[in-house]
Amino acid sequence: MDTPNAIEIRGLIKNYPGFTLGPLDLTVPRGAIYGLIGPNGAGKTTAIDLIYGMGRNDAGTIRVLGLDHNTDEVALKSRAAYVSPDLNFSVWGKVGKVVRFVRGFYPDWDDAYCSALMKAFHLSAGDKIATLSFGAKTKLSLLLALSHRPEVLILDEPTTGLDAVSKQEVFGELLKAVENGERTVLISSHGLTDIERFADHFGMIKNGKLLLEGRMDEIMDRFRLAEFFSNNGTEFHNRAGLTILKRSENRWLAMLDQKSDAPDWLQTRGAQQISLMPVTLEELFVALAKEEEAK
Amino acid sequence: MKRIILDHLKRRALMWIGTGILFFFIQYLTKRSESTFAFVCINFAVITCIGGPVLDLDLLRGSGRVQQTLPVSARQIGRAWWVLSVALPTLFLALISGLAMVIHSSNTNKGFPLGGLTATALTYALCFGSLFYLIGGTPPLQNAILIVRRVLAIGFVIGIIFIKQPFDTPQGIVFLLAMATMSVLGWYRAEGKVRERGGFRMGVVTGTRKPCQHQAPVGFGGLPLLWRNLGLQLGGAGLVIAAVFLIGELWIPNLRLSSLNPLLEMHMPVLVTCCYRFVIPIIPQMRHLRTMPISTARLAATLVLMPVAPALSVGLAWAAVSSKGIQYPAELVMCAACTSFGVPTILWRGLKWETSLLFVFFMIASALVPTFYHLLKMPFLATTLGSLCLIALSYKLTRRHLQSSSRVYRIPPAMFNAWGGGGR
Repeated sequence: MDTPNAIEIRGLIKNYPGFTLGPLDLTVPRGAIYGLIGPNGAGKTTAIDLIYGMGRNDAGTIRVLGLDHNTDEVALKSRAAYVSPDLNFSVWGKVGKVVRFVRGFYPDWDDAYCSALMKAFHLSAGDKIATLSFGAKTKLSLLLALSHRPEVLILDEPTTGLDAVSKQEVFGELLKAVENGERTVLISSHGLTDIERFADHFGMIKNGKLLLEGRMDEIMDRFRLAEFFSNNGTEFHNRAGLTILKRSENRWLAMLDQKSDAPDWLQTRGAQQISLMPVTLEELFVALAKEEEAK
Repeated sequence: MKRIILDHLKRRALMWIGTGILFFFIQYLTKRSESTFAFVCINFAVITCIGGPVLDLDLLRGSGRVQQTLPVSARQIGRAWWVLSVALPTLFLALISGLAMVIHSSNTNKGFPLGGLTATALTYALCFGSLFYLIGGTPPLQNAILIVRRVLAIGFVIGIIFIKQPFDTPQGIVFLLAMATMSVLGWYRAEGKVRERGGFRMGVVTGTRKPCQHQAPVGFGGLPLLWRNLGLQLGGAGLVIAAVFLIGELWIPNLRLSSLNPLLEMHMPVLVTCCYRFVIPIIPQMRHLRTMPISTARLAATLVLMPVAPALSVGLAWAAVSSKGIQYPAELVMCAACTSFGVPTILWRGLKWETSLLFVFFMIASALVPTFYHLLKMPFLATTLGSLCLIALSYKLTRRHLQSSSRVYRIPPAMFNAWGGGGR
């Protein structure tokens, strides 16, 4: 079934003692590289686990490539792949054995591509998994995921613990894998610079709630870091579209949503010398997280 | 060192108290009745509750690595582990045995059996000492000498439990000497053990990197490969240990504890132990298995049947050569069915102390299967039906746990992943 979106999550809720994920609506368009960002414990891995059938959702629906994550579990997993440093292959002993094990599940496994990836990642069939470095284990996880050329690639914190060179190798192979635009990637991370460089869409999640979602360029255009001055002791406070980040006497620094009525409101309140600067993903994330906390 | 010991005792206090109470009753009852196979099994289960295996459980969850970051030397940590796994459990069980003996002797107006207490304490010290020596990763399959050494060591540890009078027979003395050697070696290996277990990379690994073979491996894979590898490991280990015991049985005339088939008596706990070697490692690899295109139902069935199939094979093989009929395979399958219940147990709570207690319970239940079978004179049909019901229940619960939440296999034990931490 062809759908415009690779992943569609609607009204997803998962309750744990002391934590609730959702209600979560998330849309990953086909061919997109979607970065799911959020602090530790935000619910990123929970959401990904639910997509992969690891846990039962209390409410809502998850569809991947038009397939229901529960009823079409096997078909979904055949067309998708999952990468995480949490995956453990040590019971297989050697790289070759785990490759052989995983290969058995995918009829369209590409041996030539697998060999090329092994070479690129400096992995040998005889390597003992227990002796692999953390980065090499992540590369092995990526190799296993890419070798059957999945339509959807889900990466959960793939760069955790990787050094700069390994990170470059991993991203290099990832970019090669998605360059034809047919493959969708959902990548969760709290490394914002990686997402900013790599993703074209992103969603921001905190305390189980999606704060923001959309195209990277559109969102980065929409938000601005506003510096302004107040006269006569005018007080500014957080409101829709405006998050005060810093204040020193009459100088204010705030995150401004240009699509909201906050810019007009600032001027009517007497803000002066308003200068707008582009934001980084990190600044935007911190501002939105602050706003969420203030609620 | 003191802090490491106290920390362990604080965290495992309930386990120690529970074990103490259970052990007291066992000791009190065994003084009143003839030592039977059931009590031997329970005794064995008890020593695995507070000795090295409990420490091993902590190490599996990454405590070794954390301790190595503390300002304590590896030698001190090793000695602390030895005290926790050998000295304290021996003292603890000796005290409880003594208490049970005092109460029993005051009730029966018999003198206090000081010799018996000393022998008990010494036997337990040696059991704990050798168990401590044995704690560690499974030797690599390629290293035949290490595997044989490990199998023999396990044989000696389990074998001692089956000898009624270890101090009176030459064979018993040989067992004791072997265990004493392992205990001494354990003390000296403690520091090395810390370095082995505290490392990020699991087990003893030698970096013998061969010339790069970037060629992707070929051959069948998927679940058949999983079945072949694990089936061979479980069935093979069961057969090897059974063979060791068979030889031991011929060599030691007083190995038989009751009127039951001695082969059954020995095989059950051995098989159960082998099967648990399969159940425990489920957790670290579960996340990977869940990402494979296998339906939850198929995965649950695979996991539950994994201990049952080798048991059935071993049983059928034995039935074919011994002309004892299908009774033995039926008993083995029932025993394996009890073991298969370990799968939903571990998927329910993960590597927690509740799980280990339940494991011990299932181990006892599995080991007692032949006793009940003979005592109740269970018909073949009842055994088969009972096994099928247990397997079905295990399957249903496993499937439910696999679907309900990933929290158990979400946080890998720190030995596998140093980044593992909190979770929900």
